[in-house]
Amino acid sequence: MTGLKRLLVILISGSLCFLLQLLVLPRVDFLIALPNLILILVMSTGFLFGKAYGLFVGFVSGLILDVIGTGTPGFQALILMLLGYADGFLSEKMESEIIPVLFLILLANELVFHVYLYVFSFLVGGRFSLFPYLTEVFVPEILLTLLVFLPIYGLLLFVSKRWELRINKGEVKVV
Amino acid sequence: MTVFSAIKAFFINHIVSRIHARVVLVILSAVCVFSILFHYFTRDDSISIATVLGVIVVPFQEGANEVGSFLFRSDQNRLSLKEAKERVAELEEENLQLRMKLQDANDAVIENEELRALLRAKNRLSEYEMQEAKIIGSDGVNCFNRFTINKGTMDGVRVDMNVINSDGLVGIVTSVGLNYAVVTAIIEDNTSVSAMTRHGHHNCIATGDLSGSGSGIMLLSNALADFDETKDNAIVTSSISDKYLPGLLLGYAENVVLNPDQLTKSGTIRTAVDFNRLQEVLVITTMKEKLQETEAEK
Repeated sequence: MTGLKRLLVILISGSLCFLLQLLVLPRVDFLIALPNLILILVMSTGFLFGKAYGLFVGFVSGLILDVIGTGTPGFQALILMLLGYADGFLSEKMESEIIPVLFLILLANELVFHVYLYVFSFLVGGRFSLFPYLTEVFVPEILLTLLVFLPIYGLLLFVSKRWELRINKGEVKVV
Repeated sequence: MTVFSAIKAFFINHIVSRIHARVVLVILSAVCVFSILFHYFTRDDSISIATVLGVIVVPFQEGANEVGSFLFRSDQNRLSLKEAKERVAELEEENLQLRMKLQDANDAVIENEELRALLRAKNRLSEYEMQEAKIIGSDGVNCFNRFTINKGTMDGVRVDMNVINSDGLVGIVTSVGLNYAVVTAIIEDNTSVSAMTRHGHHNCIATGDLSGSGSGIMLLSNALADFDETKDNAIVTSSISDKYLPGLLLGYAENVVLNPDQLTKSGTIRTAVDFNRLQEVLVITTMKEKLQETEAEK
């Protein structure tokens, strides 16, 4: 039953994140960049439900991004899957969750994701220049992502505590 | 019921409990790497996982896009009654003037057709076959200027077809599925279009640039020293391009300065198309290669 409930939570939050990321946020004029909600989703599921779920969510959402976006099936699926697995792995090792540490891990996630994107887009032929990539893409996205991380993670945490879906029974500390 | 629970118990005890996340990770990673390499080496977009998934995803995207459009209507739908009435009055007056102009234009068209028959002028926009398409999704990544449209191979869309809207050139189809196609905009970082000025036929190169893509700015380079933006600043696609049809409007040249080598000029181009407000586009189903072939036959 826990598995079913987890899948339900993932399905609902996943479709909301995709709806926001692909349809609503690109239409908001004053946003200079998009926060990476998908990465937050992958990291949250990895953290709350363990590495198997992180892997699953990362793979599926990466595949969806590939289909409608960059066109190479497996390109983003691979990195998001690895990140989800790694987050789940970390979560199982950690005794308790401390919010600043979560932010650091999110930052590391973003860093890995963008280095991967940058390096492989570079190798596969679309030559980005590094400095504009940093100022136009990386920094705005990271700031916005950090900003929206807590509400999304908090909501998922609340739901999974309520239904006792969490894999890690450690306490969440603010500092 | 007992049969069902027995099957369930068997499934859980013998299959689920033996699948380790690590094994799944390795298998899926291998699948991804294989898929990426396959895609990289073959560049074959016609039959792929993306096509199969596209058939499932695209109808959802189209529906969701309608919802999105409803929530975030463009500004013109929020006019007040007074503004709307003023607008109607303006338009009626304009309509009258346009009707008169139309009369003149009709005469000009007849004359033009006669002249064109004489000159055998080809490659005019009105001669291309087009296919209307709606934009149903962006790629959701900050660093790519790509978007998905709701027409695919079923509607005759192919890779390398030019995409325009009423303002000018939007981009080029880079991958295509059964019922969708991915268009790469001309402002995508490091994609180049060989271009020329509309009247003077000065050749130059227009390149997309990440730092200007948000505001619709491209880089202009390799223009000769006698290029004069004050006389002729409309930049169109050049006839020497191998993918783009000639004469499609790219934008207007700005801030053109002489390079230190004193031979060439470079500057920026403000694109004619507003990439932040794209809704509907036209795919030109006439392709450059085909055009050259038919010309060669003649």
